[in-house]
Amino acid sequence: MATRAASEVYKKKLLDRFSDALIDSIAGFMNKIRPGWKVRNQARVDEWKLMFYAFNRSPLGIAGAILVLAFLLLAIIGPWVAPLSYDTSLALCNQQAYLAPPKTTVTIPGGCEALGVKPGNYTLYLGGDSFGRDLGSRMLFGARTSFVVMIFVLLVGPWIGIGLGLISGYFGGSTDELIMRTTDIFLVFPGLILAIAFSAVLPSRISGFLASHHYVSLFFLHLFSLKIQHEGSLASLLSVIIALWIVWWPGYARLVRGMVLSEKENTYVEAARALGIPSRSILVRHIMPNISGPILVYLSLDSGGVILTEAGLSFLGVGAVPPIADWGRIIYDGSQYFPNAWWLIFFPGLAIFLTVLGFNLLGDVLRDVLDPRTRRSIEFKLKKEIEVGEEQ
Amino acid sequence: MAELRRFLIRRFLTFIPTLIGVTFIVYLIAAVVPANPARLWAGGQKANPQVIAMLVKEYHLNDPFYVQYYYFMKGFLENSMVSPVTGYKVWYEVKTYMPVTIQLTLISFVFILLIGIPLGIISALKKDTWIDATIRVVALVGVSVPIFWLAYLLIFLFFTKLGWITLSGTPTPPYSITGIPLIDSILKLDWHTQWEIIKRYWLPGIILAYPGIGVIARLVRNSFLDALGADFVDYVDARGLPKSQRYRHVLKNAMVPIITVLGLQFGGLLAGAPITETIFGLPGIGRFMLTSIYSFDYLSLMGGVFIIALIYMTVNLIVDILYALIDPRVRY
Amino acid sequence: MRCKDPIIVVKDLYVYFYTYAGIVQAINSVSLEICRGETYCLVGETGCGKSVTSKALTRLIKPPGRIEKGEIYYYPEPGKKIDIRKLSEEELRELRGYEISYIFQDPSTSLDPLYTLGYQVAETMAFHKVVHNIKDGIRKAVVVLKNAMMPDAETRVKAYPHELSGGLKQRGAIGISLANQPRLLIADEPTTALDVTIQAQIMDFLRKLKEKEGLTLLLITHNMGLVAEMCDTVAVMYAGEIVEEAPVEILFKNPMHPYTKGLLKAVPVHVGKKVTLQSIPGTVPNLIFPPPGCRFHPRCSYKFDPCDKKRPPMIEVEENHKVACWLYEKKG
Repeated sequence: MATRAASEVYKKKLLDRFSDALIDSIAGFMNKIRPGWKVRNQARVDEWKLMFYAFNRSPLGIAGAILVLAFLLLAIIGPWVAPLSYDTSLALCNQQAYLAPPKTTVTIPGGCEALGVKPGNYTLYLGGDSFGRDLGSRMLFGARTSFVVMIFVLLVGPWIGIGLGLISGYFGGSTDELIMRTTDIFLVFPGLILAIAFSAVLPSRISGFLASHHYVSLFFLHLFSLKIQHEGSLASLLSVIIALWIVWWPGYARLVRGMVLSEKENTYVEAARALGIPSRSILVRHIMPNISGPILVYLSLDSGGVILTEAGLSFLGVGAVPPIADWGRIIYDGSQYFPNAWWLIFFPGLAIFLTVLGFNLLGDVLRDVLDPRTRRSIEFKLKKEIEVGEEQ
Repeated sequence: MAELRRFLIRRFLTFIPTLIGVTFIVYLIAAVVPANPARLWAGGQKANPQVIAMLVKEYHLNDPFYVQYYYFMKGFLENSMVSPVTGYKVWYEVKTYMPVTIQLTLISFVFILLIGIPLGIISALKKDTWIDATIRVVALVGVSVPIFWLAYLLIFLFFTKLGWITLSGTPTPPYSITGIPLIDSILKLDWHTQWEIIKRYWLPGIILAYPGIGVIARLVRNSFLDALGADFVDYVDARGLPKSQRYRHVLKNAMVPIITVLGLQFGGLLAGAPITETIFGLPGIGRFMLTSIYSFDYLSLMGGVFIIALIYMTVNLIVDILYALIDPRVRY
Repeated sequence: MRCKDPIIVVKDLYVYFYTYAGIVQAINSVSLEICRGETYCLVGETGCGKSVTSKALTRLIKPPGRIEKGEIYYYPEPGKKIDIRKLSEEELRELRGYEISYIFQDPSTSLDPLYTLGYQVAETMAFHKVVHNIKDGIRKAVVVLKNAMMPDAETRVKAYPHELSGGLKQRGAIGISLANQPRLLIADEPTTALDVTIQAQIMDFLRKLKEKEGLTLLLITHNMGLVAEMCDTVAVMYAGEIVEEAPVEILFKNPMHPYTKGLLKAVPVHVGKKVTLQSIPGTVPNLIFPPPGCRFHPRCSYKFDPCDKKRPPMIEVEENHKVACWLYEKKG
């Protein structure tokens, strides 16, 4: 029994086969670039499969994954499938579009081609805003804004903290003291205010940079799916990203430092040291893999957190500037027409809520899945199914 | 006791570098502003050059940043620093706006305690039932919902539809002990003012508290279960102690992690206050800091940040003291 | 009936645990008698059900565990019979810690870290109305701890568990358990977590205490040396069943069950010549799907026809020497 691979032992559901295929293809790929990888890492691959089996048995986790994937898909294809652009003001052609309630059909006569709108009937399924722009289309563009900001924040912010936490925890002494005191200062500083302050003062600096580095500007224009005439707004979006880097690292520094301190107590670290393995190697090859589980959970939970904070910032008027589509900003602009034009608040808020809920569900279940005890219990359950099955 | 005093002194001494650091960050932010702040303060493009020259002199804007910082801190600590935008002394402004935020966060904090802790305990006692699952989902929703959206939904329900809340100002009581009407009215047993304040603050309070309620409910559940599963609980049962005594042991042990996180939550409330204050039009320190940022009034901003940081550190100090009081294994 | 005056009689006891992995048949038809005043030992490997049996005596089994079936009688005095399974929760509570006390394996986890030793002694007395209140109890705790051989008991009363060494903690725990002068003391591996020298001291103390107070001791251990030294009667458990029971000299001289023989071969005996330790091949079976018939048969070298089909009955092979093994069926 013990010699059989995980994939052969358990009774599997459709999702399990799917996740198995995914992991096998990754393993196959690794094996191609590094021959012999598969044999060396068989145990790890089996454990990954087991993690997915545990995940596949959690309805909440699957719900979270579906939410996240759905909104990610919207963020990717949204700008292409949106019926209208984020800045198309139908109200200029037909007053009916002004604060149009959901499912209003607006007829656009000829002569409005300058707006980029062909004559015809347009149904605003989620309603229109005070410029007669289609809320549904704007929300599709808004998904792109949220996800791009989130990804760029998480690509940098937490890693600054993780790096500092590793150094601080491993080396201790005055290095630790210096890093931790600095971390304390940032933790004590009210985060939202810090982010807003940086988002408010950074744009002028960044627009100078963008003006001299046109290719960077173009790259982000495409990423955010903005029109070239809104290039000026890029600076404020990028400021939010940088501001969130500044806010997002201290928590990770604390967390990682604590984990490193407890890992350091383990004999395997002592053994590695006694063998004369260099510090950097111990940190990266021995300690990092052992603390990557909780970090992954935090990253997942924080994906939602960044989206929530970014929406909060644009709700307070920093970050996305009109006419850029951003969920928080749409709510901010729509709040003037509350409660009559309720849709301007309800739908974007719902989108933020569901996206963040998705990430939180995912993170929550990931925490369970990464806990070896949960995995063992799944293993038991599956084996039992097999054994009962064999007896019958 | 001597140990406690040494501990307090040591902790207060760490306040100083942290506060210097915090105010310095504000300075750093100001340093990022490329335009001449004096011009902005004096009214932008059309500003009178004489006024600008006066402001530059007054705030030492032509000196290196550390000289500027020195004069600022000096003025700040001597209470002679005047905001170039509002014309008020920075401390006076802080004193004006602070009570609102303190009332808001205190009411929120009470909500966290009164709702979060019982929910967590119920969840733990009814582990793995539909009640537990519901509370878990409520907690997850709590950390996922954008509070400004929740605020509008609830305003729509309670204000527009039901008319249960008021969005107007609250009466200022004629007396002042602490300067915070909520606390003063409790001390004076003035239930009328008390009721007026609560009527105005309960909705913003609960909205600000909602994410924290979720966090605390989850934490209470988990630490309660951890404590229930401990060996000493078996021994309490084996010694034939009554149920009440058993929960006494469990609760005290579960309190240890909860108190730490409650301290952090208080900081979270202070940090989240700007959004709630903006939506409900409450003239608190959060909104004051936002206004200061928009008008590049970093002197006022520094005042606000200073006081928030001070409160946050004090709360955490109290947490550490409580922690040491509950858990004899913790040394000062 | 082995005893003329039993203190505990257990008949045909079954305890199951309902886990996610399946129903664990932890105790399977266990019957035993403990005579008043003797030291009765339960021996066996980890996980064989010794602890569960001892906890079942006062129904301390917690969910997911449940006593399925069986009778448990307690005789506080000769001739006075109490049916443990029919007692109410409150009656049971009064019994535990007052008439029947426990000492658990690891004193560092069985004592509540947040309360002083004195408090934990005092509450054990106070809730059994031995003293009027906790305060009173703390005063009396000094005497109790002194009786438990605690050096410097006056200051140790105020000590928290983390301030004591392992041996002192266990003495404290023994003090707590003996505070109400119970009739039956159940010591579940009381010295496993301690140093060898302290083991000897504590065992010595328990033996003296028994002589002095006329207490009955149920000792649970996997240490055969301890069994030889302490016990009057020994019951060997394997996989949730008692496989052999005999007075200690007889068992050591003439072990009959193959498992007991294996157990004794796994102990170094100093008889002058060199001995080789032998281990019993195989592992403890999974009690969700226990082996049919005799639960030991997969590891037994004497296995023959009926072993894997029918459960062997308890056979009295000589006076007071009972064994559950098919090998002795015809002899009996």
